[in-house]
Amino acid sequence: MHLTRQVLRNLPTPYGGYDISWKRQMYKRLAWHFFGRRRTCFRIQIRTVERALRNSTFSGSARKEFFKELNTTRLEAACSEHGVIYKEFLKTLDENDVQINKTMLEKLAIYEPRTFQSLCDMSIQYQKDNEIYTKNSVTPYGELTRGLQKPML
Amino acid sequence: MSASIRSGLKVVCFRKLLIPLQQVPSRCYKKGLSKDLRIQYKSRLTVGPEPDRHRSEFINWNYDSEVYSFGKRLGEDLNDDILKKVFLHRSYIEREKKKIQELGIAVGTSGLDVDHNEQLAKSGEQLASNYVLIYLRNAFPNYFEEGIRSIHEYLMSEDVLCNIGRHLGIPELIMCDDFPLRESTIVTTLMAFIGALEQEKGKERAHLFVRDFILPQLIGKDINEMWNVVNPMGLLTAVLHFQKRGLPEPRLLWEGASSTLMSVYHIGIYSDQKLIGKAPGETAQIAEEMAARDALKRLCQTQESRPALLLGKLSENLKLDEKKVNISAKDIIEQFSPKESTASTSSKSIFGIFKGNHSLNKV
Amino acid sequence: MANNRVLQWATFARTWWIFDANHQCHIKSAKRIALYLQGKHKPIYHPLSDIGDHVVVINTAGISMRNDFWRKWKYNHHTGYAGGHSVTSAWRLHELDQTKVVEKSVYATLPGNLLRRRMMRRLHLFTDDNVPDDILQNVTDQIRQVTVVPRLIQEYTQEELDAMPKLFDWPDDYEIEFKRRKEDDEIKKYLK
Repeated sequence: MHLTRQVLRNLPTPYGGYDISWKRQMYKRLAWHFFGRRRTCFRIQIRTVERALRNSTFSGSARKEFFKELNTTRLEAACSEHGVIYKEFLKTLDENDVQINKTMLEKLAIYEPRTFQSLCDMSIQYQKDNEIYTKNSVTPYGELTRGLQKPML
Repeated sequence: MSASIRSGLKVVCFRKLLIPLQQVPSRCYKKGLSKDLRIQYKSRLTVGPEPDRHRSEFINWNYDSEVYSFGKRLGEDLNDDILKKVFLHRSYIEREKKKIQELGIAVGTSGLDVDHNEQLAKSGEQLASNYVLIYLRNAFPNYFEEGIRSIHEYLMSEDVLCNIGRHLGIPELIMCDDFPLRESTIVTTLMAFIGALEQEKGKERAHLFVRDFILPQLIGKDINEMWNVVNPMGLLTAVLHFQKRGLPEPRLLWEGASSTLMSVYHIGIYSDQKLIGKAPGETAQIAEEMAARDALKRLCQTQESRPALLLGKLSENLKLDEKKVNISAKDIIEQFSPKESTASTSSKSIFGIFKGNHSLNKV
Repeated sequence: MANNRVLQWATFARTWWIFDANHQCHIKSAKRIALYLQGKHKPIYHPLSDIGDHVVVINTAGISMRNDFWRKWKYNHHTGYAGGHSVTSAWRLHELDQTKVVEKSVYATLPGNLLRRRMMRRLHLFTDDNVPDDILQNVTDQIRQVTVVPRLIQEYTQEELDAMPKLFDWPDDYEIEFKRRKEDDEIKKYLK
């Protein structure tokens, strides 16, 4: 029998395995924004964190979709305020080489409404010149007038 | 293998002789580390944070090279003597003198006859505040003198100047008695630097420094909020009277949700049947006051849509009229009603014009 | 001073709108009303922020449905207990409460989140055009109608009727007007 083998048999092994606190700390760090025992209790925490990590694989595309939809809703609203159809508005901007993307248009509509209004006016004028203008969303009928109803003020 | 075991045993033996061999940790796992860190963290909490120390108390500190590189960083070719004088405060010299006196050495032989920066700071401050005033008067030619003064006050305030000084890296170079530094010390050092620039390179170079570092603090700030107008409607009436235009007439443009808590009124102010300002408000009274402020803004051309300040490259060939003095609001009000100190009564009489609307009659 | 505060106030102020539901399709008009209740007509819209407007709907008694949908359109309800399922046709619900059909269709159109009940509270329904003054005082603007209000045959003058081409005359004993069956009257009594 070899001497090394004899020694190795009695070799001290690491006591109690490795230090698990690092792993726990990692999960704790990922679970800082959970509520209640999901944040404090490790066995519940680990399940929630793993689910959250799994979910995060598709949240990237979901977020993009959400913001795209939000952008469209906001711009449609902003266009209809000035009586333009959103799609026609984008087309006219493209035809006139106005190179502002949708994100910037949205910011203009919120923070600089007068600038956005002038863009809309430009779009309407262009459509009128080319005889493709149709008024947006506002139906030409169904108007309440003060004479017909009860006096409003 | 056997060598490593031997060395491991050695270490163990030296550390603690009484540890039984079975509990010797393996070298790779570092089991005690997290516990140690936790203890350290807790003890830090009980002891409290480490006291601030000047950078010079740490190693790798070379005062001469730091001062030299400070000048180079700002793109100013000042010689080291004057730069060191900029950072030298009177309190530092006095402290050193006291120390030497205690040791029993004659002060004359100690080489402490150097000048401190007080004189430089005085001239620097005068130059800076003068230039800021001239620049603002030229940038806002239609704004009131009181407004210009309040913007000037903001720019030359201790907070703003101290903030500039900190970002230029001044505090670490200052030679003074007190630590942590007082804000005023940083401000005087900054002013002394401007004074040194004026002395060495001439006025224009110092003006350029003020334009590059102090005036850009106005970017993103609402200059109309710096001057508090107590009675905007009275001032507007006086201004319109001064310009020989019709008196302001507030009119209700729109109102919404008027019987609820969330009511909103839009009020426009007309003069000679022209809209000169409009604003919303929770009540008609607030809206009227805001509209008056808006009209004043437009008259003074300090509204949000004004052109940007000429700074940086745009201001290279800037010619400023140094003798320009703006119109004072106080003079205008005195012209309008010389006996009454302010035009506070005029606002009430204007409110009476507002008869067409039921909601305002209640007010 | 404080000018930005009032601008903020004006941006997030709630506008009150009025909508005339006379001779309007309840589903189409619900779609339009729901836009205003959610605040989707504003460029600052966000699904989580509560920025919807108030809508006052008048003349809900006069809403219309196409074909014989008054008879065929059903509203289901279940109490949650065994045998608790009930089916009500639209005409009957309309008879019980003349604002209920519009309310239900708007409620169904709004997104099913926690803001829904709060948005529904901003919908003010009136069977006719007698709106209390404290509500009408708030109104600043109107929502246009969804469909053209048809002209009733009673509204035509005799001259216009004579000028209209006619294929045949109705027999004298033919009843053009709608008449309720006897059973329905009995049920109505029972319900009341």
